[in-house]
Amino acid sequence: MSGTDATIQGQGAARWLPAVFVLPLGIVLALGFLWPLFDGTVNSFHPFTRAGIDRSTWTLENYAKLADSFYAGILWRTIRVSLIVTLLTAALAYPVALYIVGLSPRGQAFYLLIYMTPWLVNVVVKAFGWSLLLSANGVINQSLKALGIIETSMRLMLNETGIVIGLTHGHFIFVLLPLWAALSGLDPNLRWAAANLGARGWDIFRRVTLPLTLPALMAGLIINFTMNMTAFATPALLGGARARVVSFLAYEVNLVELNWPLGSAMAVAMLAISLLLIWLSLRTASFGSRRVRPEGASP
Amino acid sequence: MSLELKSLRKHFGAVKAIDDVSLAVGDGEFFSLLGPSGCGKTTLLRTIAGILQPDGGTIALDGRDITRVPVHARNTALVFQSYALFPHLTVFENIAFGLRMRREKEAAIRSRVVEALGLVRLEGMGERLPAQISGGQQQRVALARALVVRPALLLLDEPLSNLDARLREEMRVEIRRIQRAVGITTILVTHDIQEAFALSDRIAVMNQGRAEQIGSPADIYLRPATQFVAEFAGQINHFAVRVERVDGARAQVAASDGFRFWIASIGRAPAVGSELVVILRPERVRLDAGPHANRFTATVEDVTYLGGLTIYRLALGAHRLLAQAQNLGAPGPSPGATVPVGWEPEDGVCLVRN
Repeated sequence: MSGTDATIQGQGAARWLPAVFVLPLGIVLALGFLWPLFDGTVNSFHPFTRAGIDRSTWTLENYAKLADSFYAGILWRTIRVSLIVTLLTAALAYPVALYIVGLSPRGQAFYLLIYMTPWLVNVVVKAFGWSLLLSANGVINQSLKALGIIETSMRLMLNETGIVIGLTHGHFIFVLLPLWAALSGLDPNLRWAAANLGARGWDIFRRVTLPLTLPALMAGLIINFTMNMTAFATPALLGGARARVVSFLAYEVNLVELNWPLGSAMAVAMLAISLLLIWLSLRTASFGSRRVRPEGASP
Repeated sequence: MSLELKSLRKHFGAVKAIDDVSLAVGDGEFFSLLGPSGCGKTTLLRTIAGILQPDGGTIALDGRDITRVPVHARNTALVFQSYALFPHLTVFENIAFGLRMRREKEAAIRSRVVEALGLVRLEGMGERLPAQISGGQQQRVALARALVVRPALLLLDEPLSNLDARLREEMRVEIRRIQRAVGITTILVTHDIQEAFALSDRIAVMNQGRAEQIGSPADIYLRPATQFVAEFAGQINHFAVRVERVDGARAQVAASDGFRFWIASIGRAPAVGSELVVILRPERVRLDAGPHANRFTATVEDVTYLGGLTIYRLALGAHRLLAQAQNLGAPGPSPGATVPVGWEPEDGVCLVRN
């Protein structure tokens, strides 16, 4: 082999080296994620028979089934509960983030750690912890009854309320962290400049702080929302069979009924809805973040 | 509008950031707070704007006490050192911000913003975002944003420190032009003596939270009240001396090593035996053999050529003397040369030694 050949080969190796490092993860993603996604999408268009999946015929019946009230109801509940949790988290996380940013570095680290603890506890353990508080004979109902505020127990779990409480607690940090980072990176002079120009607290928040932290808020809310949509253990344990969500239903359909086409249709529908909502929210956010006024135009 | 500060005080822990400052700024005056970093000048400016609350003393605007008026209601306009433009708003909306907060009508906002853009020569830039314009243009937007609300007081916090030297000169002229055109009472914070001299009607030189001297640029330069002010206002020679002899309008002083020269005793005549510090600016030390009252022979130690000027470091016995000469064509002395030096009694500024 001549020296020139060796050089060319060496250059080729250098060019392909990064690809070699990416390859293992690429294989894992292709086999474990892209292929099942593709295969599932294809399956969702095949009918389910007693004999299994009939791959010879194509149908939309799985999607049609999603429209019937049982499935559609569960789908709607999943979206509704996820949105409620996300909006509730946004409303709760902003004041918390603003408060934490005002503290000393040590105080900030302490509070962030406190808010991080739910994520450090196993989901199932967390759900059992909540059931000690929320159940009919739980701490909250017992205390309120002892204080004479209520006579009969309130239903705080095994319904949507339970899911909302559990998920808000469990996924709070995913909104709080980006928001805290954005707020602590904000030049304090911007707020002083606004105040100096006559803005009061609410105007400063609405016209300066909020628009400048909106990208971070949106990022946090999207993560929060997708995690709510796909949460399994918390809704299963705190919502139960009465308040089923799609992830729980998909588990039953796929692994108990073994109806993969219907399960796949549900998964595809969830993915489509999540992507649609994320796209809509990003569009709205970028709309509000920039105000342009034609300067020459007459009023 | 006129501004009056009376015994203003502000502490940060044990540090006295503002230590009993009293001063009055007249209507339409351009007033500078000059001092090294950490002297309290920015703290003082922020206290006037209402961003910081003083621990004592009062701030009055046209005779009205505004010490407890919150920042958003003060009607002062502060231009921040970093400009603090709102990055998410266009140039137009940045300038319109204060007008929107004042609930002005849309048509009035538009015409006033366009007018302000014209004032700072940024016509047609309204649709850009702050990140899309240069540092000098951002500076003008910050100025326009402050002026458009027609504030009672314009506060400038080191507005030129982020610009390069050429742009700084240009903006200096621009700021003075705009300030004169609008006729607004202005307070400038700066550590740059040239900037303060070029822009100000009067200057307060600040040191460790105190106003050491308040006066016109010429007062500060020619008649410094303290050695700190003299040193801050430019290079100096200083001699610790004792008065030996008073002879009419002149007095002879001597340093501890017996170095003697004449000073002028204008106003109060110094008493024989009193201890003084005599300050002599380098440009007052003449390198010629003219009939000066103080005449010596010195050795050139070092020469620094600055184009229009040359700085000479001279050895005069045990003393070091800085002399500054204009370059008028003739070559100056080289290091090692022996030169005649001289100055008049009036060239020295006498301060009581403490």
